[in-house]
Amino acid sequence: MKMRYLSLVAAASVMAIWIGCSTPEPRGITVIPNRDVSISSSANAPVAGNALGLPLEPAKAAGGSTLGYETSPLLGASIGAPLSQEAEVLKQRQLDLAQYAGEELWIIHRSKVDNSAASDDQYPGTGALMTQVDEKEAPLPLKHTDVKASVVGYISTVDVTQQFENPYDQKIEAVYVFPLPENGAVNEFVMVVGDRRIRGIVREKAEAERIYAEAKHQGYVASLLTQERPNIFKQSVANIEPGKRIDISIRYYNTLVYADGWYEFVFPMVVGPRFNPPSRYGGIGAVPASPLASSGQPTDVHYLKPGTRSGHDIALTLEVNAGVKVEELECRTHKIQVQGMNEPLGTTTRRIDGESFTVKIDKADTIPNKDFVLRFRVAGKTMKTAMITHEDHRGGFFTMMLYPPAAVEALERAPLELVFVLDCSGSMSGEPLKQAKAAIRHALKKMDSRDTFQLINFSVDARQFGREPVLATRENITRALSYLESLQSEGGTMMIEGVKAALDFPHDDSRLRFVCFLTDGYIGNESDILQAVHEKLGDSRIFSFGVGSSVNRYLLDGMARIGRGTVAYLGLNDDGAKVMADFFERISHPAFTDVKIDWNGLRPTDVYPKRLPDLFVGRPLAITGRYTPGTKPGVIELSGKAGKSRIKVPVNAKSGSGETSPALASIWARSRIAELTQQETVSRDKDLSSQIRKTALDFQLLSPYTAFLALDASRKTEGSVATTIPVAVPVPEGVKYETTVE
Amino acid sequence: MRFLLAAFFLLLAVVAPRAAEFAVYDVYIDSGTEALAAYQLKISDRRAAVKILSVEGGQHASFANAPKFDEKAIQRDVIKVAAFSLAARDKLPSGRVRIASLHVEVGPGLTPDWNAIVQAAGGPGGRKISAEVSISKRENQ
Repeated sequence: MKMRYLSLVAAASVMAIWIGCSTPEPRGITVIPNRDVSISSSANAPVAGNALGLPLEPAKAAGGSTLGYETSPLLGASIGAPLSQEAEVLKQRQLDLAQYAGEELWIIHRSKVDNSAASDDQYPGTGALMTQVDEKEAPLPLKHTDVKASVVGYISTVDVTQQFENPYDQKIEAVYVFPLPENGAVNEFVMVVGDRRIRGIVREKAEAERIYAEAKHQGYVASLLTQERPNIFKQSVANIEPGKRIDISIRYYNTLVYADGWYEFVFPMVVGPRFNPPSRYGGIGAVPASPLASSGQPTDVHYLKPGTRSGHDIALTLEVNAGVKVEELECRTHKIQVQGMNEPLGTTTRRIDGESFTVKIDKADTIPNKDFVLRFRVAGKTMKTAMITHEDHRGGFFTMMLYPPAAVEALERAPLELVFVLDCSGSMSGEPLKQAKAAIRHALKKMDSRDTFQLINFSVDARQFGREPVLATRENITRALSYLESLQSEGGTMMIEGVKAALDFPHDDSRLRFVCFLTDGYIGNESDILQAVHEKLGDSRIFSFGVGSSVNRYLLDGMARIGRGTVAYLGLNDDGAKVMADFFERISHPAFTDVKIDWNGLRPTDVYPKRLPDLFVGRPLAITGRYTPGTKPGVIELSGKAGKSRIKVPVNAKSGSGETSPALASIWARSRIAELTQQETVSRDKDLSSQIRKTALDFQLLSPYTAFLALDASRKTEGSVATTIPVAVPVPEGVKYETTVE
Repeated sequence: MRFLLAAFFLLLAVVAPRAAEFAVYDVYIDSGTEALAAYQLKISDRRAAVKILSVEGGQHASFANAPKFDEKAIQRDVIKVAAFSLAARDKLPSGRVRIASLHVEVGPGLTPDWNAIVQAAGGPGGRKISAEVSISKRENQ
């Protein structure tokens, strides 16, 4: 009898908790009366700084103290948690989710086997907003992305506005997973509701997620921006009412890449479908377009079936002021309009006059399914200004380009051991594999007979051309070309097998070993690969080649950085022979190694990258750091080894004509976060995460541990809980849906 | 049995954590008859009852953009904002005008006790002017 009572009480408790959790109405609201305060300031009170600029005083007074009330546990777990913690993280996420409105549980707990049943019928009612065009159009809440970018020198400022609109007859939460450049410092986030502009604030990720979930639950319009990878972000917008529009504006800064005489501006538009090794949790899943589809990974990208469009389009305007004469520009990814030219520019190169130009994506090319890449070549071999500085209340910041000394170009290289590692997984099928094969063909034909080579291909496992590297004789190259032609793409991307095969064999001491990875990088376990490269690298150098229209630049850049090599990208319209010719030009001369800088009185602190990498011909390095205002040098000295001799070269570090950019503080902070994040992939030092968190909060930047949150607390939306609608995206151009989406 | 259940629910209601409340606090500056060209504000809650979640721009076109804030102060839920307008004097606001709104989370059962310091400048020359700041809670619609 006693047991029965206990059971009843327990059952009642469970019911009560369940009711408390699932009710859409807020719990326990306390009415707080209006309270006005009125404080006067006198005209005699000192005004800090310039009255019009009104720079803020350094934060000194601690008027407020840290808030004391408790926060709920995590809604989301940290990405990239160590393997040993995965099960715990998963368990924790499931428990935590139970505290929130029930509408999310069915998505998280759904088995992946049901994905085949996913269909458009699983979206809410669509009313009259769905339209039919040539292709089937799926009604989705992201209507348009508007990108306005400006480049001054080699610093770019990019404003991205995402226009969300609810085409359904029910309230929704839109969730959009999208890419940005991996070195982009995202530090502005504004939610626009009607004509009201609400600026978001960076908070610790777990806290931001808790507040967002609570606001969503209570019916407020809110938005949350999180970083899933340094180049992948998740935008959630809660409680968009039927027919209503909410815009999200993001601003980021980054530095342009300079390679082989060309500056390169890249705006990624879609996340390619990632492959996650079996039993690996913490990746990015690739699933069909359906609110019910789930891969079991913490973040999923939903892909539209072939022949389906979402109606989401993109506009992009780029203004460039190079500061020096621009001689040529080219865009091989999109048709563009160049101001002052009447015809769209296709995949050709145009000569232009002057230091500045403006381009727009042509109206005929607005489907966001490939990276936008614009290159421009400036007069001369180096930049006009080596160093750009900025000073504000936080101190001094600088960025500068380091070029390998001209003397390096006069030296000849040593014999090489070249290892080509070709990704033959399903995502490379078609054009990407064709492009990669063309590039390797060209490279094999350019080899010196003193060199040796190996050819490795991987998908679910790795195979290789020879038992060991062979001499680059005509006969061996003919055999290798035949082996290369026989390769087909299929299966998953077990890149770790390719890394092991390429780095786990004895090194021929008489040759420099260069390992060339040719891949789209569509994997979800980037940290495993970067860690493996770090552990197995030895004396090898890694040169990564990103092949495709929308590759994983974070992985490829990371492999080259850790591998002390360089990265190059081979788009679907690029000339593989040209990309390989540039590569051979780079490796035809020894690298400028053991690089050191004599700062000549600048006394910089926190310079990134911390360890200066080797410099290759045609590949300058951008470095960034802090300095004490008022200590700028005129000339600094760069020293290093070229071949067997040590040489020193002066570098003009005088800040040009007073050029300054407030973006430098954000760029410096982002570089610091990138460096600490890289250390974190190979170290268990727990202090690294708190350093990343502090830097991100101090500079209001997104990071693995921080998130942007914006909330409109002025009104509660009507209706019950919002249905979560993932924004489905097209697979990148040249990638096959059938071989990549689960 | 009913008594036991009622007592249990009562106990549950008392001990169950209450949801946080979200609210908007409008920030007004009254510059009297002077045109307001620039301001700098520091706002904190003496009771540490709020978390500042977002900052909205003001009602007047000259200050409609959401103002930027000091990154270090916001970590202590103290907001320091500054904005200026280069518009002609007759296009600048005067009198009492809402120049920003704070969207906040208020701890359960708590009420903020705001402390605000304003510094203001009027006209294109940036002359210091007297101004009053007031903060009031906006009724939820």
